[in-house]
Amino acid sequence: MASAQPPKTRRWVEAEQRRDRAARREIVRLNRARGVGANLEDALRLHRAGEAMHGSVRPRQ
Amino acid sequence: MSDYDPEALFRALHEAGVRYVLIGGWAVNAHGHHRYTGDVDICPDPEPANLERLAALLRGFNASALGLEELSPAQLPADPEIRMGSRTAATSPRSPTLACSTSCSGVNGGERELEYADLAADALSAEVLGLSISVCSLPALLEMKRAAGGPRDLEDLEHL
Repeated sequence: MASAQPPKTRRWVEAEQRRDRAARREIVRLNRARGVGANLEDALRLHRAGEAMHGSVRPRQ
Repeated sequence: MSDYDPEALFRALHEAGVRYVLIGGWAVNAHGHHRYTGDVDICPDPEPANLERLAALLRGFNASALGLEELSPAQLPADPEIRMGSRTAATSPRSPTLACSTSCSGVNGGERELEYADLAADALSAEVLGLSISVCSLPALLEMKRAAGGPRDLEDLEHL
């Protein structure tokens, strides 16, 4: 059984997480520039796609 | 209307002439962070005639305030938050579909209440589905998220 992650791997994972968060923030920044109408329209389109694929497995609120 | 069809709900609110500001998860989406949200959260204008239109609409598609047998306009301002779903959906995973809050906690820990007038003052207009939907401003949304402080709210704050 492997012991704790070696420091290099942990640093690599943390760096990946930082890049991931930065990318997500950049996506939001770009989306925000498009305006609330375009974003709401995209969200409704994504919702329809999600319902088509996963509507039957929605978790209980 | 299906149990959870936000598009149909937005249309129905528009056709009924209900004034409201969109808050919650759909407002998060409107401000650019796309994520799933299980209901539509609105802050309706508490003007009695508006609440009557909202109540009539909800009665019209066989909705009820969860836990309440009958929905009357008087219940809307009396209850800070009423979550609504269709009667048939009340016990299913698909409810609630619409959450109405006539006041929302703002500032850290809910030190002040944000009401419709506060939210409407700097709301943005989203032109979508051929409708004009009033969306709470980003500062107001962030304030509500900070006050709520739940795991998903904190996640939203990180992204927004």
